[in-house]
Amino acid sequence: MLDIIITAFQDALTVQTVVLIILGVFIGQLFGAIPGLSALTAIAIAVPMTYYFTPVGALAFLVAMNKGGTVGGSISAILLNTPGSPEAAATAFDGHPLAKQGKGLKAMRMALFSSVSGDLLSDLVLFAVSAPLAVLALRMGPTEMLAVILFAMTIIAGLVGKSMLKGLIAAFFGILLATVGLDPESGTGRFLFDSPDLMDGLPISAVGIGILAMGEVLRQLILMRNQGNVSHLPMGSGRKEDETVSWAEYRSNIPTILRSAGIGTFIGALPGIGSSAAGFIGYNTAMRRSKKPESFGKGNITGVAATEAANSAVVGSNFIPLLSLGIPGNVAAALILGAFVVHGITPGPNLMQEQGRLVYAVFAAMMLANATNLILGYVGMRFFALIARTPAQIIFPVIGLLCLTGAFITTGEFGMKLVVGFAALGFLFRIFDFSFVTFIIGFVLGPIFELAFRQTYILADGDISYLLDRPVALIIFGFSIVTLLRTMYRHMKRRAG
Amino acid sequence: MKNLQSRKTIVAHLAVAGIATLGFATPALADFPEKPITIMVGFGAGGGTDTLARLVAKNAEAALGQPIVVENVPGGGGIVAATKLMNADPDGYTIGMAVTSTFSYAPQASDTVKYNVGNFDYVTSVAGLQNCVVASKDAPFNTWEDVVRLSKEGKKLSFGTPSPSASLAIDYANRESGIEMKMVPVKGGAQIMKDVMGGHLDMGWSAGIHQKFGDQLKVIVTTDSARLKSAPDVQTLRELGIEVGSKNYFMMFAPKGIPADRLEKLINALSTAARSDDVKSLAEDKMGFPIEVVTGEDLRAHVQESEADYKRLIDLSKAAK
Repeated sequence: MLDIIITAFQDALTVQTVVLIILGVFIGQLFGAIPGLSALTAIAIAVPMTYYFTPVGALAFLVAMNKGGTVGGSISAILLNTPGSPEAAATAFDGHPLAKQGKGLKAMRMALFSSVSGDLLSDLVLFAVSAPLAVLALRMGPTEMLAVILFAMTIIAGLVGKSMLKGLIAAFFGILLATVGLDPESGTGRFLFDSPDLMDGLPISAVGIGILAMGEVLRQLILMRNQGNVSHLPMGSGRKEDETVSWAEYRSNIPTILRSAGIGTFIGALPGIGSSAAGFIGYNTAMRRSKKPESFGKGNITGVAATEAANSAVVGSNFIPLLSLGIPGNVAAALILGAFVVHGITPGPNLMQEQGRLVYAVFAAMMLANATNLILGYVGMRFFALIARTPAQIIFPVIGLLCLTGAFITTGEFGMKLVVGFAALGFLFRIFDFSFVTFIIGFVLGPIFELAFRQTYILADGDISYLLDRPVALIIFGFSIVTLLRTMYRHMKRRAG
Repeated sequence: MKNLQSRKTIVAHLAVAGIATLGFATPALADFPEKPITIMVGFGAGGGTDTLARLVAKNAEAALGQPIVVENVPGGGGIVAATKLMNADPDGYTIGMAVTSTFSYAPQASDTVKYNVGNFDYVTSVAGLQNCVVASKDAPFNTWEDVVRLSKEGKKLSFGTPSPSASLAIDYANRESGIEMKMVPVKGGAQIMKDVMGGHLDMGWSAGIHQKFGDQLKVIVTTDSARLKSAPDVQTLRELGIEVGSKNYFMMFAPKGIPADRLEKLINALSTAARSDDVKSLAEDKMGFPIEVVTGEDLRAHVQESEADYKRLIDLSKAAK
């Protein structure tokens, strides 16, 4: 056992692999930081190239990119308020107000520390208790998944914004758009307008880029149209406490980071729900637990820590269903699964016995990538902070162009048109104060909610005792109802008071 | 534009005629390919179709003397790629990879699909899917007869299906056997295996992925045209007198009208690559899909046969409702 682990570390510590890890983290961070691109884009481009690498090198490179992306994604959310993907949307809630107060570097540091902490903890869970957690995934059938998704939705409903009505309108609009594509049961087309491009639904990348990044670019451009040659960010104060995260500050956020990492790890171990929901749930849980919930959204650094720890923790634990069952939890994991197969390795229950050495080498590469992520992220953030101070009339048009380019790379010409359309929608959401969070969540969770609901409906076959036979699902349904009632109570109290 | 094209065609015809009369080997055409070839894969990067396409491409590059670029055009089970390819220039530089049902089933099932079997030339199949019905090793039934008996005793079993075309086949088998099942749509084969192993579904459809899970799963009945290499003892539905279950290939196709010699060259290079040791060891040993190479007009006949089979099933299904 121990000798396998030692050999595995030796496999991972070859010059080629180390160089690939550093390069992978760098590319991941860069792609993550550029709005419109994401680590996913980088992974999709890189997968075919890795077919020519050694198995350990190929997997280390892709895993490193995946990890780099979790750090990079926070950067554009904080500095520009243009999250490149929905998972970092909640990072912008407090990260960008902090940047506006001249504390961008501080927010980025907290994001980096929380992200790497969350990732590391989830990796440790993967190494230590992968097998029992795979059993957890097995136990979660369609009904249990339905309950978890519903629970996630009720938690995120806390982020509905000032008006419950507007928040619900946005959420249902998101769900409506999520129904575009082929009906999961019969294969009948829905809202296809004779376009085969729509058969698999509206691509999440294009919708996310349009609503979250490009919509914000439009708003900033219109907001700043008469302001000439200025940056949208103030000069940093230069004071140390505005730029760094002190040990005391990190320590006071440790409970939040641990809780978020736990949430992210759990969600990652269940295939299909994903890091976007994890980010929002982490954020909202921290807000509920806080003694000063009203300070969230105005530059509370705990909000940044909560989101980043949660969405990054998904990355490690996503490997649990991937390695043990061969089920990828998200698109990035699906691409990495492909790389495994091409190198003659089939993830599944026998992977550990057949390829133990390789799996441990990948684990070693993950740890190395975490360390690299921390160092490169730390060095890189000053550079990004400098770029973000470019005058608004230059940087926002450039970002707009990058968004379109990113959409073109991932979804082609069709995706570019969608980005423009959704940017207009995102702009209107912002102007009329509709929650784009509930919209995105409706859109992301809508399809898996529909599928799980229909599966449960078919399995129950009109018999209520089917549900009563499922205690786990019932307990989670109970949590959802409690959460929903509490959210409604809080909302009414806030309006009354 | 049209004028120019017809002029080009005339010139080409004259050139070909001239060369032919002179009795030369046709050097201009023999030079194909003179630039990289693109394969549009109808499924996402990382899946079985994509992996096979990339591996075959890698092994065919030497024979063709040009790089082969694999481009993923996922959507609708290959429909998006086939639609794009239908309108592509039939010059041999753009071909595609999908599965049999992309051509034989999809056009009959959806009005959004604008192509049909006749819009394409067929290059080569690479490997055969391993369609079957699987259940958890602890399931209280081992054969289709057991399933029918249990169902007739009043137990309504659940079945995880990955696609409407799979549902169509199982629905037919159920009607023929006089039983009913709860047909549960599930996204992706691996997810079906998970739900079957976890005891949430009684049975599920596998196109071969069950082999990854060793003895955790057992094959109940084969829904392929013949018995599976991996489960030679399990009967097919046809052997039980239920006329359903057709062959499905991972296959390469091209827009109709590629010059015959170019098509010939593609068929030779790609089918040879599909039979290479490299592809064989990955497909058979690691993925569990036996290499089955059928080319050109034989492959077209296979697709047509599958089309007729699906038409029969769709008509019967409509009549039953």
